[in-house]
Amino acid sequence: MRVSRQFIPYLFLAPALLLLIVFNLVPTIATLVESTFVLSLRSGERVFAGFANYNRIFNDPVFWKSFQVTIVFSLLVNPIQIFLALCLSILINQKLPGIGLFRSIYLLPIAVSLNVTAIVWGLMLDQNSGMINGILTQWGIARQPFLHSVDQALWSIIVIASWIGVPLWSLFILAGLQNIPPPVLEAAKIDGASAWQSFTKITLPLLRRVLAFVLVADTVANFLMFAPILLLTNGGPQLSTNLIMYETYRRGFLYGDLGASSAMLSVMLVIVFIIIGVELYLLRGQD
Amino acid sequence: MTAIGKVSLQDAVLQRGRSRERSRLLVFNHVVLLALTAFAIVPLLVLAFNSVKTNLEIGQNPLGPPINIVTDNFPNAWAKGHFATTMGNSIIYVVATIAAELVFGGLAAYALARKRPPGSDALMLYFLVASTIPLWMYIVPLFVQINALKRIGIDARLLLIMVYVAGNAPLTIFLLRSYMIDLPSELEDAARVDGANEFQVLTRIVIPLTMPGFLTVGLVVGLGVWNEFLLALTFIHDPNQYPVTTSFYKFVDRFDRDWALTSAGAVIIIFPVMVLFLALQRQFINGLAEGGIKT
Repeated sequence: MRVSRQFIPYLFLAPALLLLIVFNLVPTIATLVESTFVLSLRSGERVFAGFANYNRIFNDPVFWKSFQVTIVFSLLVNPIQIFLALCLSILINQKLPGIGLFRSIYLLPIAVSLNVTAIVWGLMLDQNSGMINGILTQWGIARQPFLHSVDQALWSIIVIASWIGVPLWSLFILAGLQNIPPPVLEAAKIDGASAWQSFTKITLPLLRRVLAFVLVADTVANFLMFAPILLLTNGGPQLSTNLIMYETYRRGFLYGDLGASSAMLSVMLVIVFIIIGVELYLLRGQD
Repeated sequence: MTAIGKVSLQDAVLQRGRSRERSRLLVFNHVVLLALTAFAIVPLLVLAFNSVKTNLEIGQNPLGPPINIVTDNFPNAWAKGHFATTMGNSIIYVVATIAAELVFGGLAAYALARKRPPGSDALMLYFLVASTIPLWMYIVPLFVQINALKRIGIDARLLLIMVYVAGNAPLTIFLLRSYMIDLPSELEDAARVDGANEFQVLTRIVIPLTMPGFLTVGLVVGLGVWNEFLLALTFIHDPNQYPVTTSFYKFVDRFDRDWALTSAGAVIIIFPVMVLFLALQRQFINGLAEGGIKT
């Protein structure tokens, strides 16, 4: 009886764990293993090659270019999204007349799938018939190529990613704001704190846990951004939007170079682990 | 008396200054909110407008409101996208995934929140790591594995559902566990004293009290599955088993630049989830606020 009671928790865990092992852990490990194999040209068979794939990608300018694009993209998109999400959640957390309607409209993009989003924005950013260019011409500004320009394509992707990203993350921050007890802020007001002071001294510190979560989740999500690239730019023009996740897809699926693709994915896994390590550190830090 | 009068006069002056400042702030707030609302809603409006125009009108008036409203696009898109089939399939995928996710995830979360068997910490770390790895990071080995399982006779739809459940499980368990930890354990103990077994404690006490958490997780998982297309395209090869997103994807492919039909198709896909999302939005924010992001 005692023994069987001890096993109950594992019985509860078993179905979820079984699914995770088969459909998550095993294929993840398989990706790591695959990264050490190459396709032999002579026999057409997979042979163990140690770090040959890693050597190959680390000496490949296209890989480094996509790595660089991903870093630039991350350094731009994450601060932009988190700053805007923070501003927005503060705005829609206020008790203004009609705020409920604003909040609903504002959060709507979260429900829209990324492929529909990409198609609609592709339509809006079109050089000839797109709405944005229609507005620009009315203001006397020349038509812009947006997704077809080396300089503008990455920024266009940032706007598209933010259309869903900003409302999504502000939803989490909004939940955090609603967790702050109103008496705390009222007390600060009575003590003569300005709006800015109560924001920096009370609101921000109390949001720290939520912001740490959002920061890491957003960083990882953007680091692995893929669908808009697949649907809109295919990494171009001139690899200017060739984010690393798309590069792994290009290598693996389009060129059939699974070894290099798996090696890149393994490198990305390590980077994701580092990001999570920082997350754990940030979350532990305060208590 | 005069002192009181003075103070209240000062107060009144201060108050008026403040209210002027506040009303200026209000105007500023509304301007910013309107700009952001436009950013959020304009793409959706364009989509809605174009779904009731002819292709000819879209050519002449690609973005403005429709001049002649036509409703033919919807039945046409419905028929050409085989939405009657894909809509039904997607509902099956979404409902089955949410049900399995909440049952399996709920059981696992309860074990981790209350029983804490040896190895719990290691499992939590694994879930944390796994929750950030997207499915397509290991899609190639998964593809090989799925094909092997298909060959031994397992239904492709069932496999897809299992992949969805597994992919969402780490985050589900994480969130549900944090709701359950916040629950006072005295309630469960009282039920046990009254003779309830473990299963009854879970179904009669824990689940009803953490309902907002289950609802939030269900909504997140459901949205994800409804909008997913990459895995469905990779694993499902029988057109009778495709979900709605593949309808849309094929649309863009096959009827190149038929914006009227594409827009109507997009509206058909977005509409049900948007209604659901708006209806449950309040619950959703509360659910997140009550215990979502704790580790």
